[in-house]
Amino acid sequence: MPTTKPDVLTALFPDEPDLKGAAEQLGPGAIPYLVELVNGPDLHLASRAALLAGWLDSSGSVEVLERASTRSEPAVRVAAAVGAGKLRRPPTHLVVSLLEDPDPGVRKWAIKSAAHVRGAEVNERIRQIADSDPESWIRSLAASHKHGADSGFS
Amino acid sequence: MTLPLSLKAFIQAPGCFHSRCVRIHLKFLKEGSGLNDSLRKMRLVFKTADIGVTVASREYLSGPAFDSLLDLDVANGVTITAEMEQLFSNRNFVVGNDVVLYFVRTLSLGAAGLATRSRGVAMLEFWTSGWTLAHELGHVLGPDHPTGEQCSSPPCAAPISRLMTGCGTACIEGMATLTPDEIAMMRSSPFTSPCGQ
Repeated sequence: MPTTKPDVLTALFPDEPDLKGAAEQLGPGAIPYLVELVNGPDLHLASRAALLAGWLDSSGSVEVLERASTRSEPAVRVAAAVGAGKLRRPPTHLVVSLLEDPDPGVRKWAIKSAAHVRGAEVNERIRQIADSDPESWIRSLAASHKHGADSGFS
Repeated sequence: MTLPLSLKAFIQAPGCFHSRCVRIHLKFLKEGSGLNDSLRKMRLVFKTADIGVTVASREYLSGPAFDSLLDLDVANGVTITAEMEQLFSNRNFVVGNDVVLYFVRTLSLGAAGLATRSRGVAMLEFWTSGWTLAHELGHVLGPDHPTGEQCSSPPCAAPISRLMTGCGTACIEGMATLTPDEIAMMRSSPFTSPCGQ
C-alpha cells in the first residue's frame, strides 16, 4: 500500500516518536512528504522529517537532509547533522557543510556523523576543527574523532 | 511583621490542597516560551489525581560545561548515555525523591521529551508546549503509554483525552485525563509523598 502524507504525519506526531520503526513501516515512499515537511513552518515536524530521512537511508534522504541543513533555525540543522549520521554513506559535501555550520551544536553532531565518512576532505576538516574551532569542547570532540580518522581513513 | 502570603507563594506552598505531592526542579540549558502554560496544565491534570506539584527550584545552567549538552545525545532513549549522566549530575537543591526536569535545545531522538524513571528525571526540548511536560512527569511517576492504542491517520482525526497517549499530546482537546490505574500508580510512586513532608 502506498505511503500517504497522513501516515507520515501520524508517525511524526507522538511526543516520543519511534522514527526507526516509522522508517521500516513507511519506506522510501515517505520521502516526498518529508521534503515538504522539512521546508514547512512547524519546526518540530521539520526536525523530525530530517531525522526520519536519515533512518530511511534511501536515495531521497540526502535531499531532505540538505534542505534541513540550510534552514535558518539551528535546531533543524542539528537534526540534519544527527540524521546524516544515520546514513550508511553520508555524502561528503553534506557533512562538510555541516562541519562548517556557525552553530556549535550542529558542528558537534556533524563531527559524530563524520565518523561514517571516508575521505581526505572530511578528515582534513576534522583536523582543522580540532586545531582551531572557537569552542574548546568542539576542539576536544574533533580531536577524539581525529584519532579514528588518522588510523582508519585516508 | 508577618506579611500575608502572596498568591504565587500560596499556590506553591507545600501541603496545601492535596493529599500527595511531587516536588520538581526545573533546570534550563535553554528556556522556551510556553513554560507557564505547560506548568498550569500539569497542575490541572495532576490535581485530578489529588497530587500537588511544587516547583521547588528553577536554575539556569549556562557556560562551557553545558554548551556541549545543549543538543543532547540520548541514543535510543533507553540507554543512559555519558551526556545524560553528565546532565543528571546537576542536582543543586534536589533532596530525597524530588524530580528534576532538564530543558535542552534538542534531543537526538527527535522526541519532545524523554523520561528516565529510574533516576527520577525527564528531559524536554525547550520548545515543548501544551501537555508534554505533564506527560513526561507522568512517565517518571509510573504510567507508560496505553497498550494497544491505535493512532489515527491523519493524527488527531479521532478525539484524544488521555494524558499518557502515545499518539501525541498535541491532539488532546480540552482537559487531559488520567485513568484510575494511572492515578493509583502515580500516587504510589516513590516520587510522590504526603504533602508537607
